[in-house]
Amino acid sequence: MGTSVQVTPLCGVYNENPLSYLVSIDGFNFLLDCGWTDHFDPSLLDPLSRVAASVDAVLLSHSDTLHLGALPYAMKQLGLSAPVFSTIPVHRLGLLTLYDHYFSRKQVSEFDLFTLDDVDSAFQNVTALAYSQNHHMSGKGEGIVISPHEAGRLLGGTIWKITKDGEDVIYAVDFNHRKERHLNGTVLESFVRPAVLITDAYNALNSQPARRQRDQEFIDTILRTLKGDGSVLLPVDTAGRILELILILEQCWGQLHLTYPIYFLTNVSSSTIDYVKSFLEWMSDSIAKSFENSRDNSFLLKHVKLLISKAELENVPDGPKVVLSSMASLEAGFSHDIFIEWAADVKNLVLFTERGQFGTLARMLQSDPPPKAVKVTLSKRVPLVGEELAAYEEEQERIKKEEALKATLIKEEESKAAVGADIPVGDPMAVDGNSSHVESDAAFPSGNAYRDILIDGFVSPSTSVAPMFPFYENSSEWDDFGEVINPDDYVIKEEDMEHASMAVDGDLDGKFDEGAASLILDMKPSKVVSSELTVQVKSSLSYMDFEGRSDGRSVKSILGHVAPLKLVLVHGSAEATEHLKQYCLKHVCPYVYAPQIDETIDVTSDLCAYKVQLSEKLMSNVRFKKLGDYEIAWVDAEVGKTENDMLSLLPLSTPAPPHKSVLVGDIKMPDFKQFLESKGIQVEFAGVGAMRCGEHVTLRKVGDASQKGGGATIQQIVIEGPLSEEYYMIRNYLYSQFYSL
Amino acid sequence: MASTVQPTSSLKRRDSMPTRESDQLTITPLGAGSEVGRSCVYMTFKGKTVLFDCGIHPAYSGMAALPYFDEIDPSKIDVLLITHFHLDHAASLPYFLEKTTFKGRVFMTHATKAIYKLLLTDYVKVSKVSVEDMLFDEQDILRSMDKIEVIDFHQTLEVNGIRFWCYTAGHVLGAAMFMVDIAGVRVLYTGDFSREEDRHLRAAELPQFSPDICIIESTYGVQLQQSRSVREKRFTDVIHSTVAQGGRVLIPAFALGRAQELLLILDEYWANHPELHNIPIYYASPLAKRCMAVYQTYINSMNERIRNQFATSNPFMFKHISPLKSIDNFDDVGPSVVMASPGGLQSGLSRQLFDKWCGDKKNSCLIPGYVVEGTLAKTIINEPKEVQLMNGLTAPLNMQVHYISFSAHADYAQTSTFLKELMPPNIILVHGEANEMGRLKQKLISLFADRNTKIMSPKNCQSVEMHFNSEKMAKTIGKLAEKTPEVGEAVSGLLVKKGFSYQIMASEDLHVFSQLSTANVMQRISIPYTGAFGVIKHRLKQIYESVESSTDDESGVPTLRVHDKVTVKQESEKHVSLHWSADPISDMVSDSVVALVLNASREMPKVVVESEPVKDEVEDEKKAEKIINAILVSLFGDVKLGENGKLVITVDGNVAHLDKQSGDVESENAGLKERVRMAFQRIQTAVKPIPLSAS
Repeated sequence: MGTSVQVTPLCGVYNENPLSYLVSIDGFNFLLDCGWTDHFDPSLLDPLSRVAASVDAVLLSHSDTLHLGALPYAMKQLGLSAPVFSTIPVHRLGLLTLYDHYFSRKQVSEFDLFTLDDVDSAFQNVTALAYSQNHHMSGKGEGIVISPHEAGRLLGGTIWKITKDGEDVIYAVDFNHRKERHLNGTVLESFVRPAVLITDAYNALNSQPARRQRDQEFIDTILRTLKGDGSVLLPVDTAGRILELILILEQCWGQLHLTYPIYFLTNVSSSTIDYVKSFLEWMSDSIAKSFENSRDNSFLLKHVKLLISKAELENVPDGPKVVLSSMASLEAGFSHDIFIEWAADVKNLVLFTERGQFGTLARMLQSDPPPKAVKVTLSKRVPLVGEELAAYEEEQERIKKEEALKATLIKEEESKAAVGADIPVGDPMAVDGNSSHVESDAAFPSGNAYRDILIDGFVSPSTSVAPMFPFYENSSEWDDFGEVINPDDYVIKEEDMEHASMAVDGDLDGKFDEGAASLILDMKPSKVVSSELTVQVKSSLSYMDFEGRSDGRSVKSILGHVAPLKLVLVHGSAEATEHLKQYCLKHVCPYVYAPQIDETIDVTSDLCAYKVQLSEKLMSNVRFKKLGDYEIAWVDAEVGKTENDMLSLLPLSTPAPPHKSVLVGDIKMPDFKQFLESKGIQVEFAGVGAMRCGEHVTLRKVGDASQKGGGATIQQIVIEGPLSEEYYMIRNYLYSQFYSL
Repeated sequence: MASTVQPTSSLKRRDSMPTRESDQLTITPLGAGSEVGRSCVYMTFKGKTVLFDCGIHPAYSGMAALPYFDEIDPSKIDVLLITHFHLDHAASLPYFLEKTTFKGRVFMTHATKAIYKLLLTDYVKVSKVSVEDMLFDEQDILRSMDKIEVIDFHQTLEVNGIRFWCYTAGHVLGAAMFMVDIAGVRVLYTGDFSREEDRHLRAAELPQFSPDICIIESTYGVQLQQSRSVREKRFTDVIHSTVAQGGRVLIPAFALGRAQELLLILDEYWANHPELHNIPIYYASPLAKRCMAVYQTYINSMNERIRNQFATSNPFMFKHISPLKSIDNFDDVGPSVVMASPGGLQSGLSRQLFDKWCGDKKNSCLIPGYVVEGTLAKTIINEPKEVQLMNGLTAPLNMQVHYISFSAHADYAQTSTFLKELMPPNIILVHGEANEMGRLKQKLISLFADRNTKIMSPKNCQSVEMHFNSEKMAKTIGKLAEKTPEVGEAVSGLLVKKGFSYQIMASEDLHVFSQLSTANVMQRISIPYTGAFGVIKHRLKQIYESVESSTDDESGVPTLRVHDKVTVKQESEKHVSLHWSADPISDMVSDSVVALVLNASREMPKVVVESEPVKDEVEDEKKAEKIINAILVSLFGDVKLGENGKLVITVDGNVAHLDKQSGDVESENAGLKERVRMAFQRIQTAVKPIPLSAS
């Protein structure tokens, strides 16, 4: 029997909720994606919380919240502890996406679902893979091989192929078959006849205009607003589709020599672009080629300026501008604030490039007709003053005292060891030990304050226990003139300062929003002040599909081509799911499933299979015929056993019984028509699937293979005509299209 | 598994033999066999051919620098894999792609491809050879860029049934070790590799799977390298003391790869020694400057250390090192440190400076890497009294010569641990000077004495042949596999081969498990016939054993079904029609039916003689015997009737006895026995009537 495969959706079926599915392969549990919405509603994760502990490996497919948002929370609160696999860009950009979400949320609420530390530790478990890298699972999953493949849509976007015993389970959601500026299209079509394909129905009812036309419209709309002295707000994601938009704008601004400023504003915009610059090998051929030939990195941006705080945006000169800002949902983040400011001006334009998540402000604004006014909550983090501050400080004082007491105890022990411990930590690459000492020390005093935001790869010094300045027992000696001074102490301190400030700059990925972020990070007493207000939406609103997902028609044709033996549909509105299910039942394969949440379906293939050895004797008599990638032959053999009890096939001892001959080949009527014409026979199409050849002979094709996804039935071709030479001639030509076995 | 080293023999000749898939794996170095330079290793197995690397020999020029491409047929190569961008591994690629019949696919890593172009363009500009000696020009390089495909580390690709992927090799940016898997036999080609992490590169990985054959570099033979920190200290000490005494330091180095590592060391040393800040360091390579963008982009293939540094500032933006365009821009006053290419001191800036400085004993020449036999750098390592200058004069060699290697090749310790952990049953040494290689071979032989490890060091064009009896396994799937058969049962079905995997399936399942589809061709032919339908039935019955008559369900016309294959229908008074599904036997039956119908309509009035055809079985038997005898004679020549009815067949003195009844053959010679048995079986199949009922 084949490999046992069960699929249990945990979230995101029959609706557009985030994606999260449990796939169990011979008892080894894969969690495919671990998504969350921009609302961060913990109730969505209930099904996940029930199974989190039994997950053996997590596979991430894209770097947006819908695919990996819940990872830190699940790791921290739900008991998920399995190793995580993703491509390098998904790892890096996913991390940045969650940072951005954290900062945006923290700005406006007492966000406590996860901290930056949780994000860091969740992503520390990630094993980064390259496309088409075969990773062999070990232990419980012995024999399972996973490999990521290009999915298109987002940088590093992945289709996962899980293989056991030659049977493929493919998880392909949110793929894009179209080649774009920064990405190649998906390679999904190169997989043929997998045992199970899990895919989404998100775009089953969607159709898209041609790319060129859409791009042109996009640019036109933006320019119209700019020329009318208005500004354009594009609410975008942190590190996903934004890259494509940036390239479109860069290219257009370069071609038309436009001078309107473009700003890319997220909490992590500069590090996003820095990382992206080093991911060229994951991008499209044209980007790779331009770099190879002229060392021209497409993400060395000439027109787009990177901002990481709202204050920076406020400092730029007034006038029409384009702002790309994060949180596509407009629920929080800079885009939310900018929207509130700009919505009242008729000249402005809010241009959505993706469908808003369900129940968000963006979704509301995308409805038709758009609302005239929306209620929003304007929240702000402000420092505490007056009585509140006093109360807070009192509380903090008390906590501090307790902590200090604890810390001194620990410190005392550690400070003894500290002197010795510092040097081995030093950089092993250093030419002289001197500099290493400085470096490892340097990050220490200032690093503490920023512990929460240390980027991945930075190891916090072993001596840092709590966010406080290092405390050393004052064991100074006194002489007649007072405390004995060692001048060296002061020299080193100066050097320390220099290095420290450098280290901090780097660790921070540049500077965060000085005002508000420092409130978050420095733990200065602050609170969130919210006020409800109604915003008159006077600015124009527009939606253009830059989601980069294949449209309904392409999805269908791709599914038809891949022709899985069993198909599981997830993610997509109930309507779309049902539509695609009916389509696939008719045209792709007879086994189409669309399970509900928590419903476990068994997609174990009912394939029977056994292995045999092909003996030399048998093989020496087999004559293969070559057909494309395949070589094919008819064998008649007798079953025998080898020494180690394997079944083996030996040549028959008696003459082989005759068998019904098999015609192998795929005939396309238009191609055959051309072929016959080249042989000088008059051919014309006559009615559906029929072709009149010569005078009297008719050729009809009854079962059409291409329509039924690789052929649910065998092709039936009917040739009829009166007894004539022509008949036999055409029959011979027809035979020549096939291999007879 | 047996392996032999054959004396030089042209591979072309062997290739012309019928290319039956054999179990023989052949590896032939076309370059870098017992030498260093022009790496190029040819491998063929089961009709698939792979070429590793495509370099030139730095000590020669023109055609002489190429690997021995004449030995092979370039058009037969499926895949060409380039490990890294150094000239001795990649520089004959434009020639090979543009000037030979090669039509396979070429792969290298992203970083290698980016630097390859810069490096070779520079090489073409710098090498001052006559037009005839030019192997290729810039246009060839540009064209080759379009043909080169990229592969990422660990990415598994499959071309024509050859699966391959690559591991980090250390050595230089983008350097890879290739693992090739053909029909389950794995070959690892290390290229140049280093197992030691340095300032910017990762150490070579240890592959997850042990290969069956490991083709490994042996540049350093049995030498042991000092630890990196010691070498770095020696390096900086020599430089420091030389410049402190007012001398000049010349570091002849190849423009890319290791030079970046040395610059990182120098820049850091200068940063830590403020007293040296007034002493200039020059780096004479515009090429390196151009490659900086590449180094900045592919940080993902470098180590953690350098990636962390990127966070603060770009470590490749040197603070104490300034570029130097040419010797004319060089203001030679006082102490200085100059790093210049080429590394072998053959010509160019490094040689110009050497000529200028070699007379002064205050000066130093620091050779930082492996130097190829036949270059001046190799000569001066032995510190001769005099050297020949470029202008032909001889001059005393007074400057100090230091040889401190940073060339990131594995030394003996690294090589032996690498091999011990990998445990390949076959090791082939390439890329090493003959004596060093010999010593390494001896040492490895004693190291692996307790195992059956074969170690070979073929010379250029010497083939190493190995046999791999790979068992062919097939998976029976679908309807055919519903029940696992017992021993002795027959299995018949389609054997489908893709790449090197086999599947057996029923013909109905073909479209399910492969992209191939099967077809049924239904044939319908109408024949004018005005006679009675009964006549046809009668005639058919005379010829065929099974003729069933019935009426058509739809039209109600009478039909006849011959052997369940061909249906004859009386469409109207004037027509009969024949229906059948195409199949060689059915076609034959239908032809005979057509002939019969035509005959019947022509001989209409004739009265048919009612006579049951007497089947003379004895007569038939005799006829068959005659035919069998005749065919056997034509096949084997000497066929006699022996005792108890057996046929005695004599071929070249070998005798076989054939029992005509059972088909058993007895013979001393197994080959003859098999052939006679086979022939007899086929003759019997041909002579006996076709069993029509089978389907």
